[in-house]
Amino acid sequence: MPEKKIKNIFINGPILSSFIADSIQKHHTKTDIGGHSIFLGQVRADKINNKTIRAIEYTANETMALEKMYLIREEIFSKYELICMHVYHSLGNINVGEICLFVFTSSVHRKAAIEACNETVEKVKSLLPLWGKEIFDDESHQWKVNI
Amino acid sequence: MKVNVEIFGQLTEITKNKYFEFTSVNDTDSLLQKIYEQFPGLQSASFVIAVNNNLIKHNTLLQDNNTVALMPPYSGG
Repeated sequence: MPEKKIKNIFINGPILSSFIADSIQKHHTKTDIGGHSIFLGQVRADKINNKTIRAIEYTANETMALEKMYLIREEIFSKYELICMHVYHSLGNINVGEICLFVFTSSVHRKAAIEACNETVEKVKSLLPLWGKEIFDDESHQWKVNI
Repeated sequence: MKVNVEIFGQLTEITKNKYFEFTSVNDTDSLLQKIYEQFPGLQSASFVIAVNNNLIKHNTLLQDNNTVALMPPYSGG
């Protein structure tokens, strides 16, 4: 039995474009890869009743989220011919325009990477115990609902 | 016997705090009854329950020092 390796996916604060660029750069030595697929979730300035969202504050049940992410990763790797997969989600305050979710899959041919990326994003959004508190410009708030 | 309760997301607006301890509860149903007595607002809230990080669907026996999490619908991403 291989050792169960729980990877941390959480980053305090926004996911920086330099971090994303570095992640891409690290794959240049993996020359069996022919295609990457990347999803970036960005905090949107929704307008609701004349108020505008200025940030989302993310909290999580971290232990359960990491356990679940381990299982999602196992499932995705068994379903698709992936070479590697990286998932990062922000915690704490993320302002509009900043990146809060980064899913990065790589495969020999494009299809596996694209489909695995899409499925992982959907699973992260529906199965990980994470909560987004949407903060408006007048400091009132509402809780994010995933659709 | 002591049970730790951890509250997540919008449920913390009802309970004000995130962490609680309850004593003299044998199972999750009796724990919920005590929680509802203290926070009636939770009765109309939607949430799932985990005991020691495992989601449960039915009444579950509790051991000393178990942690019970109350988690509203997820909204990550």
